Amino acid sequence: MKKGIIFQIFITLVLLIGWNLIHYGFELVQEKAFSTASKAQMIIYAEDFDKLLDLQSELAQVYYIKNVTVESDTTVANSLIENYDLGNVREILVSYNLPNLMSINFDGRIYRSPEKAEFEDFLASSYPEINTAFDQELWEEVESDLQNIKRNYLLANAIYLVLLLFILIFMRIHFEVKHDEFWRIYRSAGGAHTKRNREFIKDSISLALVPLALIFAAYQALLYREIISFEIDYHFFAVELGAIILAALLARIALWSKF
Amino acid sequence: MLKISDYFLNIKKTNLLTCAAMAIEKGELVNLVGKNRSGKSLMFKTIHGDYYNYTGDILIQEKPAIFYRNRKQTVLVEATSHLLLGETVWRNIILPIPKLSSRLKLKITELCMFAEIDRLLQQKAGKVSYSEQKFIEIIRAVAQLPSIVLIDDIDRFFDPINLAKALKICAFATNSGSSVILSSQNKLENVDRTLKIQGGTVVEL
Repeated sequence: MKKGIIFQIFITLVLLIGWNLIHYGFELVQEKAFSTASKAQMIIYAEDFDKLLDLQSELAQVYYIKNVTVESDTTVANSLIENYDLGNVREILVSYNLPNLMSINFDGRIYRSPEKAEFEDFLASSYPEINTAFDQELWEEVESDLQNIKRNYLLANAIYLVLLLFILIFMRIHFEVKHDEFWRIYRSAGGAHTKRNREFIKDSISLALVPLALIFAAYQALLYREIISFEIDYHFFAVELGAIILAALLARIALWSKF
Repeated sequence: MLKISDYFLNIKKTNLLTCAAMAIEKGELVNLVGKNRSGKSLMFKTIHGDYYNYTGDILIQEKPAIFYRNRKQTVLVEATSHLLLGETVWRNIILPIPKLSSRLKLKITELCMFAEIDRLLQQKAGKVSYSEQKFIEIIRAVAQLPSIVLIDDIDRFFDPINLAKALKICAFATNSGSSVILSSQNKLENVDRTLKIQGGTVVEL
């Protein structure tokens, strides 16, 4: 294989690694935000314990709820006595009418604004008599962080895409122009006029497939060895392939007169 | 093989060369004689499909030259050298050949031995003499066996001995069915026909 193509494959590979690292960084930061979001717990108070049990059974199938625990008023009183060493005021505490409690932990990855609104509507319409407490501040902070992370990720992708296209197109043009003399002599020697175009297409296929295959194999190996845990959407690889093909097409258009 | 009719070659809106009718048959070795700036090179370029400022018809195997734009039936050896000077002589000879059969390889080696450039095959083309470079180009052209080989100013770099060798190499192409047209300033011996540019018109001698 020609030296120029090997060099271009290497540069393309480095650029793709950079692009995947942006994605990796995004996944890490997002994962951290999701785990913080999961800490925002909802506490539901109700006088009627049976209502809470009904609600618990209804919530068992809800996909964005990680777990639900229900505590009766007696359990609540006992745990208060135990946690705060209130043995000497047990009689007074038991005489109070303590509520029954339900704690709900959400899956931070899934429990976003639409799910939150849906859940709040459900509680308000189906269980109007219950009271809820939710760490709204933490949740909103995470929601805002997630939006910023996503915006920055999209911006970083857009900038990187432009940079990648710029480097790939000019690198390709540079190497094609470098071979102008060869092709001029090749043609004047009687060589096929379509050969340069055929070679360009062949090189474009190598430039698109070889680095992407290496990146994909490396990703699968890292996944298999459990060095990374998150899964990259295959569409991301398709976008990378599309970017490399686009760079080849734009370079070909720029070199139109030479073919 | 080649038919030219009502041909007017123009340069900067003035007529340089005229050819009422000319036909070259398969396997013919034709010499086109003309002085400097008589239009020989440009005429070759029009036949080769590299220059379009002309009127009239140029038919190669009954089809216009434009038909062969991407798959040329002609090989033009221009007066100036077109070699990859940093590559070996052998690489330059086989450069346009898509598949080199052992038979063709043997034939090229024979032609190189005949032209006495066989000892230079592994040398860089930039290090050999102009006449040897011309031999490289002629061997490269005839080895492809195109319909027509056009060699411009064949007598420029060759002494009479080397010129005779070059004509013998061309005979390999004509014997294999190609037509060869050679341009020169002086009339060549041992060719099938001679055409001359006289007063801006191509005439048969």
